[in-house]
Amino acid sequence: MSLRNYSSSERKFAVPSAPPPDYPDEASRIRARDPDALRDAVRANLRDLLKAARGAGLDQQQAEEAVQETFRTFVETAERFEGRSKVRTWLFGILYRKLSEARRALGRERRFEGLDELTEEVFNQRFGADGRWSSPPVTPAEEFERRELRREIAQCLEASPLPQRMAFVLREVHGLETDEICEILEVDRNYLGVMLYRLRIRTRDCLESKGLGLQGSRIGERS
Amino acid sequence: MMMNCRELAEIVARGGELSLRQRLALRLHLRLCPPCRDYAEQIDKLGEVACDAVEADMSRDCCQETVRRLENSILTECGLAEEPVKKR
Repeated sequence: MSLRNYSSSERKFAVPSAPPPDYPDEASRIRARDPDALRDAVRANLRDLLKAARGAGLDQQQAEEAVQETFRTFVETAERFEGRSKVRTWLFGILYRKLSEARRALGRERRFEGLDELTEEVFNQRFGADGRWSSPPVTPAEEFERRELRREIAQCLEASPLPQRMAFVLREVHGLETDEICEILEVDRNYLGVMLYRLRIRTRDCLESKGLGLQGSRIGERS
Repeated sequence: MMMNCRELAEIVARGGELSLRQRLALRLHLRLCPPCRDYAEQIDKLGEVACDAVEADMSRDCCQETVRRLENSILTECGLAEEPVKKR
């Protein structure tokens, strides 16, 4: 993922020539505000950014606004794009920071104070001192309709703070690798694991408390 | 090295890469422990359902037309509106 080591003089000479549209040159063209390169970046990433914003819980209109602002910032600060990360990573990072600022400004993250501790306490209480289940997961007798599950999971995800939710969406919806998610969220690998762990046990508990079935998964089919 | 239920549930919920040793311990435990199998399946399913939910939202509200409109609005705002297209 990292750039080959160009010396600064090489880079200077590389800019005016018409570079092939591969990765290092894309970065220098973006830095130079080449309109074609910027347009390509918008077109290639627009839908993914919208999807991430929707996944983070924004409605369509809010998501469109957030994405528009993200690209505005991207174009305004294009000369700072060093090309050490992919354009997509850079854009997801801008989007994430915009959403965080907005949530904080609205005081929406405050309601999550103390929540992680509670989630872990509830989790721990499901096990005895020997580490075995004292209250095993409930598996409902019937599978619920997809549509119903979708609606309920969206509601359950509302109960998690933005950083965790974003981590989850980048992993599960966008299928990004650990390192890229860490770069976007500015966390280390261990903390990313903790974030996902907290969101997943909370969300699973939430669905369980609604009596919703989550059966027939890929793990079951594999074993 | 045995893995207990609590450790298994935590590892499964964290996700991410596992060492060979962890993978083997996990697989062995899952084979022997139905509640952990249920838990792991449910955790695994979360991603699938969430993905499904976002895709459903997107296909309902975000057709090609929407994307094109937003794209045009962004390009115009950023001074990148299409002049005659240059072929590369």
